[in-house]
Amino acid sequence: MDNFIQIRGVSKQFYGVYALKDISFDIAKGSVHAIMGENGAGKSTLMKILGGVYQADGGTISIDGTVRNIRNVQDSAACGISVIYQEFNLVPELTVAENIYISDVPKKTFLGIVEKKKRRAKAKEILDMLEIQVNPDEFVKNLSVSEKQMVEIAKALSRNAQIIIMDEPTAALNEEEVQKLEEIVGMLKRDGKTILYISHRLKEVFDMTDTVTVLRNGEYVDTRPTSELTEGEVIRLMVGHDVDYEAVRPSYVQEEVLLQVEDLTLKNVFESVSFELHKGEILGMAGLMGCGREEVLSAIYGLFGYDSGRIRLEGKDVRFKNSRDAIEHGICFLTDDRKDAGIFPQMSVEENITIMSIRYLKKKAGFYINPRDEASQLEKMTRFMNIKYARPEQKISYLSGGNQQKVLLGRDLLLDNKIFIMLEPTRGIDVGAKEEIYNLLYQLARGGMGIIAVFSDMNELIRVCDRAVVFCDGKITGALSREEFNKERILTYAAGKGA
Amino acid sequence: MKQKLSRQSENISLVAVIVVLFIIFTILQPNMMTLFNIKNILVQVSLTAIAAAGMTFAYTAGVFDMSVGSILALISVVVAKVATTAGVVPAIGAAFLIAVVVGILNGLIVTKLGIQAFAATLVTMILIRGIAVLMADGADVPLYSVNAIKFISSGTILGIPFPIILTVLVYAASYFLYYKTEFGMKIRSVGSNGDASRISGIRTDRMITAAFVLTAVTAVFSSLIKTAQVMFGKATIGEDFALDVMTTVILGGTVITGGKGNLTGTLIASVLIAVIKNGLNINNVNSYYQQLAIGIILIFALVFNGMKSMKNARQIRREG
Repeated sequence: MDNFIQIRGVSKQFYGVYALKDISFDIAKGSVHAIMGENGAGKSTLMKILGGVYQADGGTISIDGTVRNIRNVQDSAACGISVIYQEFNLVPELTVAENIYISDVPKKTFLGIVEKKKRRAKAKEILDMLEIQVNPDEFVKNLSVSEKQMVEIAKALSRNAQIIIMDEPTAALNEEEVQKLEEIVGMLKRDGKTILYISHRLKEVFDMTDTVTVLRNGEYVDTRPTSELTEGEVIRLMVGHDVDYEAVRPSYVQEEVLLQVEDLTLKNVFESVSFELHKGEILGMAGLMGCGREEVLSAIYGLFGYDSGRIRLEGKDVRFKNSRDAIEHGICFLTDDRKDAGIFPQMSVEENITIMSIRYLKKKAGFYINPRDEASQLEKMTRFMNIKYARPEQKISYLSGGNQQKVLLGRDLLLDNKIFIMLEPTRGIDVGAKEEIYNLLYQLARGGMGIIAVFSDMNELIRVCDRAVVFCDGKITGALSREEFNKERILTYAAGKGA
Repeated sequence: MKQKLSRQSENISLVAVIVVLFIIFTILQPNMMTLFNIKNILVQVSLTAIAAAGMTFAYTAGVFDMSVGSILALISVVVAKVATTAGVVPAIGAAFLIAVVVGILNGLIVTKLGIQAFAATLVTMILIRGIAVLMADGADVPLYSVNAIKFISSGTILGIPFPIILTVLVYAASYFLYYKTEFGMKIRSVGSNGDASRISGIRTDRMITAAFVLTAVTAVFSSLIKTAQVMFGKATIGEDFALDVMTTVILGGTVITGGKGNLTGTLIASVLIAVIKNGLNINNVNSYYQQLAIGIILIFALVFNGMKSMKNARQIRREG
């Protein structure tokens, strides 16, 4: 069955702009089929059409030889399609079991009483099958991001779907969990399910999928067997031109020590954390989810307290009582949660980028800000980072992930800081924008800035950083120089076995 | 240009509703269209409009203030007491001082104790009303001896009633603060995304407290107008005031979850509500039916605005 799902001439317009234009390709039954493309390529739109969230303006979708008219989510489910969206659709106040069976509650015919025991048992069965160590009675709000992702998968499977669509399921997962997901996908494939897999991470696509379809700017580019492609080729198809992917860069590390952290401890969170950061250095922080590295960095930045230890900035002892304090000492911080802790969704691109530097702008009579000063700040960063937006007054929510990220970086860069702490600077952005951010980091390092970066994608960490420290359970279990970088080593330290 | 228009479309639709209602009321009762009546409407507008300007800041910062009606009463009693004993200037000074204290109190309860604005200001609403009643000793405090106060409600400058001038000044200051200053931008950022604000080094607690202070301070102007109208310090005034003010702000198109205020909308919405009330009054509509009519008109206005914000949300989801 080489053409289990046939997509023919599917188009979708939003306000006169094509999000998808005349897309046609086939998906084989029982295959793992990757859909790739940069942000805005139309992947998510296509998946939402299959999932019944959007209706196509034209074209047909046939499944198993019959043309299906998918008008809403119910139609899609009736076709045996189940979608795991990028944003979770879980109810935090309900338990895992309740969430898995949220639309399909097992109940007695008499009075419709919910069969809680049965629901729990069924949920447990699915979780066990997936080897997910989550208590079905736990409230979803108490789960970690990766556990939530696993629950989403369990929920999709509970409906016995034949076609499972995964929209960037690994964006929030670490290496170990990605491996778990790969196993699950393999299992589903053996069961004869068809899987559509969307991801920005090339490695997974090459590890897991049979076929790759590439979209670019809403148009179909190509469909090829994964085994016939190289990473470079996929990137070229996505971006439309060559990207120097494996470029090696010089190191800009200087002698001078910018930041020294000694024996930093916060009870039950992190313990005796010590490291130093040089001028011009990109220091990577590795570790599995929950290893405490984000907490350490937040504590340095003044978002958290700590019990003991000392922090020295250019030789002077400091302790920041809040983030304002840290900012005034030339330290800035990029969150890994762009949507919930990064952007100001109702505000414009310009306001989003000037929100921090506005404090230092000259004001008439101490109040009035000249609009031209703000505009020039945005212009400066637009030029520096090639940010794309329609107008300065455009709401930031309308920008792509990569451009939003650039705005967030620009917000900090307008302050002329010495140290930049970045959590997942390339999370949820497309390959082209990732490249630009790597280059930006190099440029900043060359200028003498010290950068501490958390990457959960180990390939990125290895590629970008000069040195890495590895965390496990709130402690540093290893430090590696660029020459010593390799995945196995980092994973060994991250699992706490190295030290 | 098109963008500018679409941003103003919400306001334009409210203005259209005002014009239509005004025409209908005038056809039914030609007295509606007299200069005297229009002045009368605008003076009525000032009472809620001024406090609603402050409340718009509160909503923008992601909070709101149920206690503003009680603040109205407390200020009224304090002004009457101080004015009759020490004079008008100390009375007004005391009024603003108390407003700042109450605003800070509200802010501290919300930010430092982590109590939701609804619960926190519900409590201070009762508390402040209690203090006002105690201070008034259960009776109204007459102000007949202090004629200067009268000017606040019925004085004119160049023929323009003083409350209208006050409204214009308060809105001019609010616009400036909201759109042209760092303060305004920070208030919006705190309501838009608290975590992001904190990371950006904005002291969110202070901004939220400042929003409460602004609400209380604008309520002082409203209280002065009301007190001057009745020439009594009354602990019972403003029982429905908080709801009126909050309705006005929401009707004006301010987002109730924070981050985006609409001062122009608030001002237009207060005119709309005043026109409805005045039009019904002047047409001798029974007061029971008045409530009903206001309710129905408000539902229409809210549905209209709701459809717009739904459309926006869809657009954001698409591009996000």
